Amino acid sequence: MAEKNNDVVLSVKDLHVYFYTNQRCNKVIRGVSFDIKRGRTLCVVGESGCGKSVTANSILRLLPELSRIEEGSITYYKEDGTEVRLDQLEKNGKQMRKLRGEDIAIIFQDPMTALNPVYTVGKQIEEMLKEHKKGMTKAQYKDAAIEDLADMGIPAPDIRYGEYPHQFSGGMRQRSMIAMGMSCEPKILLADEPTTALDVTISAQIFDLMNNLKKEHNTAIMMITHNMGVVAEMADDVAVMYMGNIVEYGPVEKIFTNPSHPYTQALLRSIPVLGKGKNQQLEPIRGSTPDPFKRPKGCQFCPRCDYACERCQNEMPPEEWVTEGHYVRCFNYKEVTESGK
Amino acid sequence: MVNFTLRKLLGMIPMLLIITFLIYAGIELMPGDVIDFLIPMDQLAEMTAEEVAAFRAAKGLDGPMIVRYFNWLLGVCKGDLGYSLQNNMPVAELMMQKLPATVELSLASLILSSFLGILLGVISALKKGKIADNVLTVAGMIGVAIPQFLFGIFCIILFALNLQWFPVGQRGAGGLLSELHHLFLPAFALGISQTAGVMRYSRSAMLDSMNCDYVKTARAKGLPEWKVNMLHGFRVACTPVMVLIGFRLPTLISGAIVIENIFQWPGVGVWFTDAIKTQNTPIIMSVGLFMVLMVLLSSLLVDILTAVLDPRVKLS
Repeated sequence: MAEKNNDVVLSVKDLHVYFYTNQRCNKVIRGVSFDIKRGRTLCVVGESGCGKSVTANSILRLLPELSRIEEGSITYYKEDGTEVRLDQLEKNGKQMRKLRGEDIAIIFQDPMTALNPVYTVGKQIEEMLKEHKKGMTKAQYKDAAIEDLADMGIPAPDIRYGEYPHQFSGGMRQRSMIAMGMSCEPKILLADEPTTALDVTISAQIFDLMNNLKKEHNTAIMMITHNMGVVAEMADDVAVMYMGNIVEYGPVEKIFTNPSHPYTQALLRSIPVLGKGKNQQLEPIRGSTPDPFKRPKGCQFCPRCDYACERCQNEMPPEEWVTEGHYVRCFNYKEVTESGK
Repeated sequence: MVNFTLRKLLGMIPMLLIITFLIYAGIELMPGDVIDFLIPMDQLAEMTAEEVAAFRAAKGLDGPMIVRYFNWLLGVCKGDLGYSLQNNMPVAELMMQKLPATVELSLASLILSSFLGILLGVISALKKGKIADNVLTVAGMIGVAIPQFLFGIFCIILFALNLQWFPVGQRGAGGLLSELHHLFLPAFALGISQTAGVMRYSRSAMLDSMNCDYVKTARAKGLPEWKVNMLHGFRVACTPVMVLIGFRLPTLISGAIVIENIFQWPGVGVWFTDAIKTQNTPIIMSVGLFMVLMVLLSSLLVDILTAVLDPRVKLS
């Protein structure tokens, strides 16, 4: 990765995560590197199964049992300047547990199932507070939880505090999840497709909320999505993932105006544009995602790529810097960038 | 909740009527005449038809079945369970002598099997695929499949006769410790299939629960594993397990009859089987009524318990 500056809160370097099922090894993450910076939103885009969620879960060490971080490092930079190697911590050990929620929080995709149905929403927020902010009185916990709910724009938070998740609408539940995530003022918020299960207006509200958090608390946000519109709206930085690699990474302007990887270009071409009329031509990406157990030898995108050359078939392209802070994994990126313009 | 309970209790009345009527009809359909059991054969041979009829009338055994059923019902409503045909003892008094032992055995068995079943099931789920889980799975299948009486005899031979850890049978006397010592083996034998069933069910309920997103949320909060497992995983798995336990409660009550015979437990078991053999209608009806009442009440308890455990369930 490029220069190390003080804005970086979390740095992932050359991360490899493998899943072991039925005596087979699925190399889900094959060398992923990126930085999450204070007060900025990193959007990770890519199709289903490309490893977006696994990356987020690796950071918090919430991976399922049959998986392992094989290589690489995840480094968390505390505000006091110390570095914590998350990949080396014990999975559910004391140190990792202390970081979860307090320093790094996560919001899951489906707020319908992410809250425990048998406890009140208030109690579930309090549980987080009690774990990390010990020594408050009962009433203080309650007030704090109500305040968290109020901060997320939930009306009548003192009543909502005592209600169960099934009495909440989807949007309200996701807000409560964010309230829970933000209750200990974490430095990093990981959002794993936070609005996939919600409708568009509610999504917009959730995004506003997250943008506010970013501004007010200087929280670093890593947001996983497969919606390019969300990326354009939210992102400061973008990481485009394909089959376990980040194929292109950079500031959002660069990615949208100067896409240098054939996959990024193809993604952008496949989005309908509002106002272009009914007859606009959408270009789907030809072919389909390869079987993770029968991956191409070289560049993972090679079989579907228009620019593929012989080298692509045998070798995985390294990360090549296009401009500062903008890298791409493509041998022919210069040609790709030119033709994309 | 009070409203719900009252309505459920009222709803039990027609069920009780139907079920008791069916039991009464069942006794009536049994082959043989009850008179044969009440009067020795040589005496009966010497009695005239009038004398027999007079005897029947005195015992309340004359008239059509429907009339006799309603007479019995009327008696029950007045709190009179009738008299044993054999020795003319009031059934209520006999019940008071025998029932506590049976209730004690069934309850002990319920508690033991629920506790053991849930504990082993949760261990099994948390150790999924490991040796402990595999051993418990096999044990669970054996537990469900093995007939109760066989297991009871096996327990007596192994634990009472060979190892001499427990007394062979009968109820303990003199002190709680002695009572528990006598109680354990029959309660365990009675609850074996219940234990195995609860264990298998707890395991799958726990696995379901542990696979849910809220468990991941709990972990992401930084909670220690025991809190994740117990307060989130197990707490949700609790509801279906409680329902299962409630619905299997009747098998414990009926199973007690077999186990009581094997362990010479002084409950209603032997007495009840004797009553059936001799067509002693008042006793059969009273014990039957008690069992039916237990079944209905336990299903009510399940309903209430579900609503208490799961806030999504509304009693209405």
